[in-house]
Amino acid sequence: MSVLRGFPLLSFIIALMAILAACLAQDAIVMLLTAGTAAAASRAVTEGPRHWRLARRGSLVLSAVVLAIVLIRLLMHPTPEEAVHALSEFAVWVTVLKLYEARTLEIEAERLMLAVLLMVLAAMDAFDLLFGILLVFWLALFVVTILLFQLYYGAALGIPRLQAEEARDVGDAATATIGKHVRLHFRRTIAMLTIGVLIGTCVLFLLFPRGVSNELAEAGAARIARTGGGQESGVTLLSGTRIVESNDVVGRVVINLAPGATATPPDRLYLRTGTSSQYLGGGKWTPSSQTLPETRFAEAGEQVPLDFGQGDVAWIVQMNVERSLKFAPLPTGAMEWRASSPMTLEVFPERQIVGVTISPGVSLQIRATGGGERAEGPWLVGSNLPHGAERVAADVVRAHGLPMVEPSEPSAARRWRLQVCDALIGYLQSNRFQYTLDLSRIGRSPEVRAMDPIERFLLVEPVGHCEYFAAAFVAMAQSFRIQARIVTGFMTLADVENARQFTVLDRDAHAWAEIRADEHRWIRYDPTVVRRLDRTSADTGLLARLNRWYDEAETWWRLNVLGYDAVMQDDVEASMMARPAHWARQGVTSVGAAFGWLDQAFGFRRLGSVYAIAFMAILAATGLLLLKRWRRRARFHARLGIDSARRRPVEAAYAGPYGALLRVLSTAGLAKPEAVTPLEWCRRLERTHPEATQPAGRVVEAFYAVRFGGRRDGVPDVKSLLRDVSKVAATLGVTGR
Amino acid sequence: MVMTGEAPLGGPIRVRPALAFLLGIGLIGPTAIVKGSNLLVLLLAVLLAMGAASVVMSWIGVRSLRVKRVLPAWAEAGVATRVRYRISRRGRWLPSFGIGIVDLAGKGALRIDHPAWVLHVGPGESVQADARVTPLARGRLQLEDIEVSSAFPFGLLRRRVRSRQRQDLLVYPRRYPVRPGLLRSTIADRMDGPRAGRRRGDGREWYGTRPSRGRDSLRDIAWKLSARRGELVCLDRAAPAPNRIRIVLDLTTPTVELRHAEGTDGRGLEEAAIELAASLIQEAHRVDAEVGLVIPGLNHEATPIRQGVWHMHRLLSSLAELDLDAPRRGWRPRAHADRSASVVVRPDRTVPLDGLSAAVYLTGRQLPELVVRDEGEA
Repeated sequence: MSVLRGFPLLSFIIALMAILAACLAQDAIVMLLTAGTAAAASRAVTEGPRHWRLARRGSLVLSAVVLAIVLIRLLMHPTPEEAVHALSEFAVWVTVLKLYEARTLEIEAERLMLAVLLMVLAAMDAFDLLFGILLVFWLALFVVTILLFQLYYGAALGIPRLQAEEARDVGDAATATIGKHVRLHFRRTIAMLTIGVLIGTCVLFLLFPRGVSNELAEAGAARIARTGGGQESGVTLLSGTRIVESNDVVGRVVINLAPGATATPPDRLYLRTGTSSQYLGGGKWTPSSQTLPETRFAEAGEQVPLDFGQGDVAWIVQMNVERSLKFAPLPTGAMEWRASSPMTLEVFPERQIVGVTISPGVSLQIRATGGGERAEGPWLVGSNLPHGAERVAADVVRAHGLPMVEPSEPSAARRWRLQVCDALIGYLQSNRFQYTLDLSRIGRSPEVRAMDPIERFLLVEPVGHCEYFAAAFVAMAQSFRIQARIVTGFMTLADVENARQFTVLDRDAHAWAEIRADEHRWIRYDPTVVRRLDRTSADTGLLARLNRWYDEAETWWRLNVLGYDAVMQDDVEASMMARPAHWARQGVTSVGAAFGWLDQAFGFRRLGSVYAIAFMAILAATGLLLLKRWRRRARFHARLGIDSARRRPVEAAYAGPYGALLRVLSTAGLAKPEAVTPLEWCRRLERTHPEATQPAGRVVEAFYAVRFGGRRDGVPDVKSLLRDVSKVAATLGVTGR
Repeated sequence: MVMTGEAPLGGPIRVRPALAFLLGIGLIGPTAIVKGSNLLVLLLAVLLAMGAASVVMSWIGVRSLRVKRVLPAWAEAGVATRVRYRISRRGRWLPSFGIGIVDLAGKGALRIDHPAWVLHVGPGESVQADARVTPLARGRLQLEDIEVSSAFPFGLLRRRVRSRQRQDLLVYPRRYPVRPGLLRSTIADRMDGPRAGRRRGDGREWYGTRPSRGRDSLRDIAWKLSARRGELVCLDRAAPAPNRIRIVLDLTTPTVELRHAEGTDGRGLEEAAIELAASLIQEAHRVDAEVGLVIPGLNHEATPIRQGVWHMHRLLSSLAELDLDAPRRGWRPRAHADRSASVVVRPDRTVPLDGLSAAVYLTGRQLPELVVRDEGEA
């Protein structure tokens, strides 16, 4: 019974973990502290020296009180989310109350049921890796606890009652009532079951149909996003999202100085893929230019000189990309490039920039001069800007003592724009704002969720990632009629081993802002550059390493478990089925080839195949017969108590004629009864078949002598015994033995 | 989902585990699809995997089990007795856990107070388990099928395997302790005083002689014989003979002709008479009296008056195997010259039998007044 000793503790842990998980899922810190403490203390209280237990009636009254409170809260906010939260809260407190009740089978069962309910409710809300770890451990413990509960239940109801009674001995009292090695067997069973359930869970999880409805896809997408948004030109500020960082490589860029050039290559590379300047409201920004004025194709290896400006070649940029990048940023000025395959050029003559669409696997070499992008065209002013952004911007500018209106004189106006932008960027870089990729905690209350994302960021929840900062900066700048835009792309630091090489990863996706300082120049403002660099440069020390590992684990969890969708399912299916399908095809081909060879060898059409099939059928039938015979012999040996583990035991050799004799007798309708010894049976044969008695007795005596006497002297050999068996068969008229 | 409130175990939990399991799947499955939450899908997958494991493991658990029933020599109607089962597992690798064993006897013949349950049977091992059952009627109880079941590992599915083992269990009639002194007071005046028994003892009657072993009383020495033999010879005394009681269970009246009150039936009175006879036999055994049994009306050999445990079981077996449906016939009493007291037990009312006018007459209807029953027993 020692295996059952751990059940009460396991049951307590299961309930406690479920309570903690439910509180974590709801972000209910107060409930976590109160309910968690009460639950943890319950064991000390109920199992302590005073043995204090909550009476059933008291538990019911308290449960009713909790129910009333929860119902009142639900009536105040009657939404489906609130209903789930209310149910979860009620289940938490009822579980805590159950932990204080007496430990009966009924209560144990109720606790386990409540624990399951709590975990299900928590799984509807929680997405963190921490919850995932908790869930996995909880499931493993749950499997073990349920196993133990079965036995605990039976033992509690069965064994003690009978043990308490005075037994009337009706059998062999020395026989054990519980088998040996219970612990060992139980552990083995648990291991086997856990592995089985784990494999089954994985298979079912992978095969469960997904993406059957739009709701499913939306629900999945609303919670998880991965970096790599730098490839998209538009910007949408989402809330309730957790962005996970992927380390997939987007491309590699090498900047080499051109011969004779003296320019200094940058220490960080801003790779632009799109700009957005028009705010549509609701957190959505539209790209600056949706249409492509001119498209032409450059052949592979073609050198296309584009002379947009003056100056010498400063550096040569080599790009090898692994993703399809649109609007790759190219330095302005005179440049030429060499590509490994044809590519599409998007030429914007009025802005004197060139965009390219680079396909994966394309190697691009660009010879370019330095210099920024030239700003041309009319001034664009912002629209649909949130009032909160205008108000905050005005307050910031006023606080810096700057004029609220742009000076009319161009140089003063340029200086004023730069001063305003400096003030705004300083405000956004203050400690009031926090940089985070985890937006799942933002906008949880309905009132806050209804607000404009930029207003929410500036006024209520100053937490967000680079797009929030850039969007807020651009909105505030545009409120002063400064032409500004959000730029999306990648920001990468130079590789450690090579200062001129940049490995662009998905996690380098970034957004920043640019303002048009004057007629000809766009100037970059990056409100989050410090924070991003801090994150990148703080990768030393154990804590940072642990944090990175946790981030990577969470990435894996979010992408492969939480983000497992129909597309991934197809990928998994394709990758898993590819090899078996290949093997199957190869097998069919090989068999076909073999049959073809046989046909050729025999010289007749299809005859070789027929022979081969017939031969294989005969082979299979023979194998089956041999297997059947071997199993029959093994069973017979087991009945006789012959150790099959020994190689070629003598008893086994002599068991052959003995078994044959028994079969002959059985066929003749003289099957030996269980209660009669073989020798006695042979003697009884004398009455009806006197001539069979002697050979039969010889066979039995020989087997007995070898099996139990352990001697072979004077014992006839096996062949003569088989002859005796044949004589018995002939006497009894048994043929076809 | 986690409950094992199955009927054989008869526990306090009334939730059907399979129902709870299906309910859980029915709730989690659609929620997982609607919410698009992979965690719910994960939980659903775990539940389904547990269900599949339950199907496989419970099948493996009972597949190669062999059960042998070991019965007691006898049982008593209405009294719980213990039936032992020896369970062997023939498999070589896997053990079995949580095995319940139930005897499937016909309704009305046997009440299973507590089924047998085994925590664990290892591969190739044999263990034993006891069940507490109560035979409900006197006679030969036919036991046939045994059901072995297991809901291990998760209690979701209970696998059952039946094996046929025909065995008989002799069920004695119910015996009650009779009121103190009943037997002695009713037969005291019919006894003819102490008699010499057939055994050596400390009575007054002469039993024989024997050589003196020393420490013998001088009064016990047979002086004449000693003088003749030339050695001390002692007189041996006989033990007083035990009381001799003949119990006559008068079943000459057919059941339908018995006179009984409303709400009772004749068969009930006959059974009560048999129980009273059994109780008297037990009481006679308790007070070391010799007892014999005569059953007029049925084809039953009169059992001579003897003493001892074996004899008591012989008499009780006779009572257990009485067939009340057999045709009744008249009875002609034989003259008994064995100086025994007779107690006549009839089902309904006292009718003096020929030649037994001096006997004590009791009826089955008097059973509640003549016996002492446990509290709570009707």
